[in-house]
Amino acid sequence: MSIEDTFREEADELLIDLEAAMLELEEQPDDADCVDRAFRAMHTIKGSGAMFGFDKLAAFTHHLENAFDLVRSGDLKITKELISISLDSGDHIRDLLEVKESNSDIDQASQQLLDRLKLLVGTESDNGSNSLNDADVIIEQDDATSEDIKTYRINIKPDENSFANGMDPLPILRELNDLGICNVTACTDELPEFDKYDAEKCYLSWEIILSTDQVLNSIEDVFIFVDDDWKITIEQIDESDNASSVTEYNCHVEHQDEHINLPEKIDSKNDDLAILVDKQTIPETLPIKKKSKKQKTKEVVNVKVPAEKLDSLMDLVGELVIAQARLNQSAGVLHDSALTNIAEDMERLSSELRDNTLGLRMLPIGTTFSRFRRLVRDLSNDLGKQIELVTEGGETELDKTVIDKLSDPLIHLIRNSIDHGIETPEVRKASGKSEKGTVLLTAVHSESNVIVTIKDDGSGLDAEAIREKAIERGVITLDSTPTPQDLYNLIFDAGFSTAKEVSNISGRGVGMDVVKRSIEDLRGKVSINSVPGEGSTVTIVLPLTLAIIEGLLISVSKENYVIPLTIVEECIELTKQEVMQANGKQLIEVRGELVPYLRLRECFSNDSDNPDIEQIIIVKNGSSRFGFTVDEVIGQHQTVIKGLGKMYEGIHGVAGATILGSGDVAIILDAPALIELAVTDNNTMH
Amino acid sequence: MSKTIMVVDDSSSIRQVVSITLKGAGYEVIEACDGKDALAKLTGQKVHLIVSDVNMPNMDGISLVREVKQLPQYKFTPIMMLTTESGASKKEEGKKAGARAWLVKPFQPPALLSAVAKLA
Amino acid sequence: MSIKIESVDNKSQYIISGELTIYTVKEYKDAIFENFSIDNDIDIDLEAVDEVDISGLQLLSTIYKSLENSSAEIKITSLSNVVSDAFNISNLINVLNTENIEQ
Repeated sequence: MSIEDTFREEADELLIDLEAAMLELEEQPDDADCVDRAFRAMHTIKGSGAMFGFDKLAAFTHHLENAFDLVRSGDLKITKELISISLDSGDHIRDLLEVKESNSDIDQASQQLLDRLKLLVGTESDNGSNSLNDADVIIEQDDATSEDIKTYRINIKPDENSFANGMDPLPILRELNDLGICNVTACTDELPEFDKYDAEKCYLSWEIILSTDQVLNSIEDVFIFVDDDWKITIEQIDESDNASSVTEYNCHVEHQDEHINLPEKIDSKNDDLAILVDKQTIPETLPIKKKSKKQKTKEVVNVKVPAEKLDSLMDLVGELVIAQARLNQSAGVLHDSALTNIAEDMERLSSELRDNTLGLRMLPIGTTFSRFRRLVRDLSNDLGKQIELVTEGGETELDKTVIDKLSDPLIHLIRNSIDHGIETPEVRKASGKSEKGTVLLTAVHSESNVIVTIKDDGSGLDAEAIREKAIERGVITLDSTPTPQDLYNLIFDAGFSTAKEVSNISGRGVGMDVVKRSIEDLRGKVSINSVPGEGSTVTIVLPLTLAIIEGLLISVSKENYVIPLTIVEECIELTKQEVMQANGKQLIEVRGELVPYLRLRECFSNDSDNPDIEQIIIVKNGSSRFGFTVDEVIGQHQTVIKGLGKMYEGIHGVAGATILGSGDVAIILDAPALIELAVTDNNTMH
Repeated sequence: MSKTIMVVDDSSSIRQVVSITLKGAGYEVIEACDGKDALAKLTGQKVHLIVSDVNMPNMDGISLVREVKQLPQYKFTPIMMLTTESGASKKEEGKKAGARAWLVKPFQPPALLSAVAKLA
Repeated sequence: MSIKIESVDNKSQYIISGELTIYTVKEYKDAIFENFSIDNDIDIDLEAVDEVDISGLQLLSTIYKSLENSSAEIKITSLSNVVSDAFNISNLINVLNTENIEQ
C-alpha cells in the first residue's frame, strides 16, 4: 500500500469521525469533545493532505479547521448550518481525495462551500490565518550560492543553560565546518576552577572565521533553532568588498520587556529576517484554552496488516484444523492413550487458534452503523419527516468482508423504512403516535450467527396490497392462500420489485430482491415481519465469517459433497417406487407441494447405479424449494472453505472444496447455481 | 552509532513519511501515536531527539514536552515540533514548555533532515 | 556508560566508556571531584567513549585547566575517533596539551 493510500484510508476514518461528531453536536451543541474531534479531524487531514500533494484538499480543509478553531475559542456557535456545511464538506473532501489535479467542477464545489462558510464565519475566518503558503517559511532553504567566496567572522556565545535546554553547540560547529573553510577558536577563559564548576552549565564561547561561497542566509540558517538567549554575531570581513556588513543577533530579550528589539540590521540587502522577528514579537493575543476534560481513549492502538496476510493465515489455520481432524482419527484407530492425549491437547489449541484467527478479521459493526445516522438525517430532512435512528449492539463483531458487503443492503432497508414505513409527523399525530418516528438498528450475536434487525415504528406492511400486487405480477396464483407472514416476505421476490423506486442514496436503483440476493451471497438470510399500524421488522441472519461454513455432508457413490446448512430445509427419502410413479419427471411431492429435484449423480456424471433408497435434500430456493438426490446423508460438518484454484475457477455449481478428517476431499456445492443450471437445461429441452 | 529519533504523530501517514525519511538517512526511529503513547515508549532507551506533532488526542505535543522535561533521563532530549500550527502564540507556548524547534508541515524531506541534523 | 576511577599513590586513572554527554556529565564530575586533588597525576582513557558533546568536552577541559598551574601531570592515554573529532571541531583540543595525548 502506498503512503498515498494510507493517507486516503486515514482521511476516510477521520471523515467518519467528523461526521459522527457533527451528528452528536446536532443533539448537544455544547459538547466540547465533539468540537475537538471535528477540529482534529480537519487539522490532520489538512496537514497530511498538504504533505502528500493534495493541495486543494489542504487549502479547503484549512478553512473548515479555522471555523472549528473559532468554535473552540467560543467565537463561533454551532448552528444547524455549520453542521450542514461540515457534513457537505466531508463529502466534498472525499471527492477531493480522489482527484489531485484541478477540475472546474470540484473547484466550483469548493468555492460554494467556502462561500457558505464565509457567510457564517464572516471575516473572522481570515484572522490569524496561517495560510498554507506562509507556513513553510521557517525551513525555506536558500541554496543559492554567491559567485565568489566571502569571509565571515562568527561569534557564538551559548547561553549558560543551553546544555540543560538540550542544545549542544557541537552540531552547529560541525555544520559551519561543512559550509566552507573554518578556523575555529574556542574561548575557555570563563571556565571556573573545578570546585566551582557546574557540569551542566556552558562556560565556553567560540570565534569562527569562515570562508564560504554560501550566502549569508545559509549561515544564518545554521542558527535557526538556537535559543534566543545565545549571543551570535555574523560579520563579513571580506577585504575585496569594502563595505563590511554586520548582522548582529543580540537575542537577549526579556519576555516581560514591552519593547520589541528588532535585530540591528546593517546589511540592507538581507531582508530575510522573518524568523528572528517572529521569535521576538510574540504577542499573547489568543487565550490559551484549557482542555475541558480528559479525552476518552477512543483510539485503540492498531497494527495494520494487509488483508492477504490474514487470508493466508486463515488458510494455514484451516489446513491445521484439517490435519488435526486426521490426527484425531488416527489416534482413535491406534488406541494409543498417549497419542490420544496429545491429539486432544492439539484439538483444543487448534480450535482456539482458529477462533483467534477468525477474530482478527472481526470488526465491530458500529462503524457501519454510524454512517447510517447521516443517511437518516439527510433523508428525513428531504422527506419532511422526523426520524431518530437508534442503534444497539454496535460493538457486535462481524467479519470485515461481511461488514463491507452489508453496507449497501442495510442502506436500502433503512431507506425503505424511512421512505415507506415511517409516516409524516401529521399522520403519526393523527394516529396517536409521537411525531418523531424511530428506526431501531440492532445487532446481536447468536451462536455462530449475527442477527441484524431494522425495526421501524411506522405503518407496517399492507398484506392485502401485497397480495393484490403479487397476483397482478403473477408471483402467486389467485387461489393460493399464503399467510400474512408469507405475503410480507414476497417483497423480497425478484418478480415483485417495484421499478419506480430509484434510490439516490446508494446511487443505484435496487429492488428488495437485490437486497435479498446480496444477503444470500453472504450466506445470510433475510425476512420481514410486520404489524399493521405498529411497524415492520427486517431480520437479517448472517454467518460470523465467510471462511468457515456449517454444512451438511452427503455422499453420492462414495464421493463426498457439502451443502451449506443455511439453505437446507429437510431431508426425505426417495424410493424407487416414487420415482416410477412420477413418470420420468423429476418431481416429488413434499407435503402437498411438488418439488423438482436434481440427481447429483447425473449432475457429476457418475455412472454407478442409484441405490434403492435415495435421500433428497430439500433446499430453499428463494420462495420455492428444490431437491437434490444423494445416496447418503452423513451429517453436519463444520468446514473451512478452500478455493479450488484456477483450473476449476469457471465451474458452475461448485463453491469450493474442503478436506475431511479422513483426508478425503469434499466438494462444496453452490446450490443456487446448480438449480439455475437445472432450470435452464430443462427450459432448453422443451 | 546511529541516533534514535522518536516520531510522535496521530496521523499514520505522516508518521510513515517522517520515519521513512529518517530511516533513509540512517536514524533509528521509534513511532508513537500520541503523547501518552510516546511517554509509554520512553522506557530507558536513549532517544536523541523527539519529533512531535502538536495537535493529538490523549496528550497533545506541548503537554508531551512538559512531561518529557520532568523525566530525569530525558530532560535534556531536544524536542522538535512538527506541525501545521504556525501561530506565534502556539509556538511561544511550545517554546516555553521546552520545545527546541518548530518545523511546519507540509515539509520537504531535506528540510526535515537538515533540522534533525541540527538537533540530534 | 560508566566511569572507573583507580587511584594508586599519587596517580589516578579515569576510564570513561559509552556516553560522555549532558546526560552523564554531572554524575562523572561528581565521581571525579570526590577523588580530585591538584597534586595527583591523572591518566584519562577515552578509548571506549562512543558519544560525546560539548558538555563532556567541557568537563575534560575544566580538569585540564585546573591542573594548569600544578606540577601534576595529566594526559589522555587513548581516545576514540568520536572524541578526537569533537575536540578538533570545537577547537577545545587547544586546551589539552597535545603532546600529552598518546596516539
